[in-house]
Amino acid sequence: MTSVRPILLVEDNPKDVELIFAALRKSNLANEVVVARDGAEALDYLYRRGKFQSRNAELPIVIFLDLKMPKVDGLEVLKQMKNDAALKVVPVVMLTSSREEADLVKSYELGVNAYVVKPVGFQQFVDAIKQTGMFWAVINEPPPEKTS
Amino acid sequence: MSAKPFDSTNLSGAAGALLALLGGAAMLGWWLQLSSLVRVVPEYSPMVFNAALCFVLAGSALLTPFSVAVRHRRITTVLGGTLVTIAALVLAEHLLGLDLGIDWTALHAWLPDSNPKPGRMSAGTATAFLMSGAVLIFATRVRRPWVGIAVRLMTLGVGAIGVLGLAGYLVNAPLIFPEYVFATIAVHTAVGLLLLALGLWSAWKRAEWARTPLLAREDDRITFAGATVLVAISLAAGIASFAILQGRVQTLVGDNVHASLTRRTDMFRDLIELHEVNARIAATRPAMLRNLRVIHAGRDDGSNIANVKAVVESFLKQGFRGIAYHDVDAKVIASGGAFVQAPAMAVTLATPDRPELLWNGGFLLRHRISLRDSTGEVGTMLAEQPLPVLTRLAQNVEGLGSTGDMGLCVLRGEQLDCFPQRLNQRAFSTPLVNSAGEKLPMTRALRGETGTIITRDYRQQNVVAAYGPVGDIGLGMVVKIDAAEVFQPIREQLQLALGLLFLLAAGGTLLLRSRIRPLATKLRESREQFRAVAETASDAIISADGHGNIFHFNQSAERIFGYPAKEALGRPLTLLMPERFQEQHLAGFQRFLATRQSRIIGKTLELVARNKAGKEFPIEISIANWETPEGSFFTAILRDITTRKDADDVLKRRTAELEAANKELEAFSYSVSHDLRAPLRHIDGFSDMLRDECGPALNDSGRRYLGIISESVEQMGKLIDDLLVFSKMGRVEMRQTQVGMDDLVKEVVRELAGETNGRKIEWEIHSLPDVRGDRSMLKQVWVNLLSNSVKYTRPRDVAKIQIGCSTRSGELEFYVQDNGAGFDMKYVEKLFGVFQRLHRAEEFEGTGVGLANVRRIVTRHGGRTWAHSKIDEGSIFHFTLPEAR
Repeated sequence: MTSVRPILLVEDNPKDVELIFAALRKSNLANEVVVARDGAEALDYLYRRGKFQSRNAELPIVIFLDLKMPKVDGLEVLKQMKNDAALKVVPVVMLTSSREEADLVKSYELGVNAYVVKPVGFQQFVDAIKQTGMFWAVINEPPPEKTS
Repeated sequence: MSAKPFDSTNLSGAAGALLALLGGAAMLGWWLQLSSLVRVVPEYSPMVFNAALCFVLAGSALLTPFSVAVRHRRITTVLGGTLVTIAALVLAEHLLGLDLGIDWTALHAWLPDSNPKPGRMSAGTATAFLMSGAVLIFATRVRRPWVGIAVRLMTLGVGAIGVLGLAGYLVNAPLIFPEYVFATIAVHTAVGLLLLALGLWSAWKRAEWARTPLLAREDDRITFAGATVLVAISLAAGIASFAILQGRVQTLVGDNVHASLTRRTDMFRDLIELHEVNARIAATRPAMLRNLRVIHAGRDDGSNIANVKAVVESFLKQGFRGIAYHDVDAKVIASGGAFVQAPAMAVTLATPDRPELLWNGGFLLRHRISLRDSTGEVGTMLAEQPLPVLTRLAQNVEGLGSTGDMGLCVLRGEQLDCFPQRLNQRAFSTPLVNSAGEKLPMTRALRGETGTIITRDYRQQNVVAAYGPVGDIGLGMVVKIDAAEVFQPIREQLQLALGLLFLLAAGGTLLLRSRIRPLATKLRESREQFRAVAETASDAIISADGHGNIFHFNQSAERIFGYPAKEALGRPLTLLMPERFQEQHLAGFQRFLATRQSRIIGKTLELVARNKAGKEFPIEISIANWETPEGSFFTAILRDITTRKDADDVLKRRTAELEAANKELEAFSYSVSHDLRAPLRHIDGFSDMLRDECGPALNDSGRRYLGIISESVEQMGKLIDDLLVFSKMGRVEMRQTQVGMDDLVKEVVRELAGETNGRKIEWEIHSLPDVRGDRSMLKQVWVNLLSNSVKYTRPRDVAKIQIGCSTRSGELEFYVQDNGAGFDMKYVEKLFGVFQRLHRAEEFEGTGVGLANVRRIVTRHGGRTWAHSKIDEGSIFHFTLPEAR
């Protein structure tokens, strides 16, 4: 495991970002966590556009995607990714406050890999992030990277 | 009454023109003395001048527009009045035997006619014109029903007189029924009267008063029509059988009379010849001639004269009534018997001896024969022979009835001299023609004709007569019998037959009536029923015929469309439609008539109609079609659905509003679930981090505060979750399936096991039925009720929870009973409200949403919820669901 691929966290709320960082910290993951503050930025990152033009080509090991965001929302990001042959192999985990059935259904229809509702209680929240992070970043075997 | 003409156009106008023409022609005929114009059939009665004048007047009245307009009314009234005056005067002449000098006698003198008063209109014709005039006057003045009835009856009367006049000709009434009043109506007058009745009828039939039928009831009208037909058939049958009978009798009697004539003429000739021979024998006896010569020469020795006398005596015994011999000097030699001195009649016969036929109480034949021998004239013989056989023959017309008679006449100049006959015991003379100008049968006989005829004889009596010459002796013979006697038997039979036929007609009419009455009553009842339904229905009922014209328009239709029925009847259906739909309607209507295919018949449709004010409004309409031999008919039942449409609109608006509210609610729950949770999470997260990082630095109070913050966050999280469930229960669509309540309850009890750990709970679950409903929602009901029971029985050492169901009037009533804390019934109303709690949170935790959810779900399933309780004794919760079907 020479190069540890980063985790892409797409989340507009800085407080949530901070809490997620705190939770991830507690889980001692080695992966770098890249934060995109909305859907548009997430796509920029994935397509290496804008301020992410010069990043190296490796794809994130998992994307934690918030649903409700300004500009481009989570579902839109998911849709574009799953329509892109190169990006659709990247696991996407919805990390959201919504337990709405409609959101769940839509996400799964678009091919989301997991759907995690952020618990209100902080301890539970930390546990959820820990487990999710551990699973996707460590336990799960990611698809092999294409080297073209 | 409207002032427009009664539509006296076609028929009455045509009748008027024809009548004026008929009358005008007859008047012209009288002036120009053209018999073909005044009497269409020779020997039939002529139309008198006054009748012709009346026809011209009546025809002119019919040509005038027949109306109540003053100008027209004045004309018809004046013409009608003139008719009435003429007819009344003529009738007065008839009734009082007067001669008012109004008959134009001089004008009629040229035409020989049987009319005893030349030019006088017959009483029947006068009556008809009297009624016609009255009709002309009163038809425009019908103010009371009886006047209308009188006008109808008088018109009928005019026609009836016409028919009776014609019928008279059919049965040869002038001959057979001389006393028949209508026999003297001229045949074309009768036709004219019929036409006049028709014209009058068609003139007044469109008048307002004539529209109400004389007989109000339809069955009466049918019976009347049936009776009329029966009477007409009876009359026709009677007249036809009479005509046949008459023909046969006439032939029979004619043959009989003719045979009698032939026999008599033969006999007559033979007898004359026989007696001529007798006379010649008497005149040609050679001994007699010799004796006469001897006596004349004066050489009589007495024996000669004695011989002659003996001969005279012997001839007197041989049938001679008188016989005398004269010598050439006309001196009587011998004479015997008696000679007729002044016979009542004497006729010289055209036989070689030119004897005279004498009448002196009997027939005699008188001979004056010159006596000759081979040397020349010797003398003359005068002899009279009585003809008793002939007398008997003439006086006794056996086999020909009581009026049978035989006439024997000779032509003398311009008259006939006739021997006395049985019915006329004196010799008499008579003109060659009868009063109608026809040759008498005797005239024909003396002209050498032979035949049989029905005509008037010299007495102006109708007779059946056979005529022929008696050989060539210059006599004519007629054997006749009075028509009245000949036809007496058939007259009697006809009277009997007519009586029977009328009885038959009356019986038939009664039968018809008895059959039709109940039928008509039934018909009227069903029609009345239909009318009542159609008239009082709150829906408009409109019927139209195959031309699309309205013929029924009920009260509701009047109300809905604003047209009085009077205005709508007879108008096309398009009257009730907005213009833009009319073309489509007409096309559809035609298509239906052609193909019997319709997109609308038998269905209920929503269309747009138009009322009288031109306002359009929505209707619901269903159309039915029925077929009769008269064509297609349609009935539409429709209602104004403006109110319903409005209600529909309101409902639609409400629904839209509700949907918008629902959307809002959805958005609200979304933001609750998403947006409200985030800050909560942050509060909890950061306070936790605060404890982690600064915990040791805080004093006890600070740490307690942090704990309270965490608890509050947890509480609020729960509230939000419950609230979301509650709103979801109201919003989401129900997925109805068959739900087994037994399994569902067991499942819920199983799931509650986590909360009941270490507690002693006695579950008593009775068997539960299946229901129809949304399984997850119903599960929520059980979860809430059972978890409540579990929760509130916590203080009990042994919790008892009972679950069951009963059926009550189509409803399933479920209940959950526990022995828990119970609640105060004072607050039972609040029990099922959102966030309503009857216990403090320290006692029993909870958000107050559970029972609100129960009520909401049960209500959505069509059921009810209620509860009973006693504090510290327990509660029982009920909910009902409709029985699964």
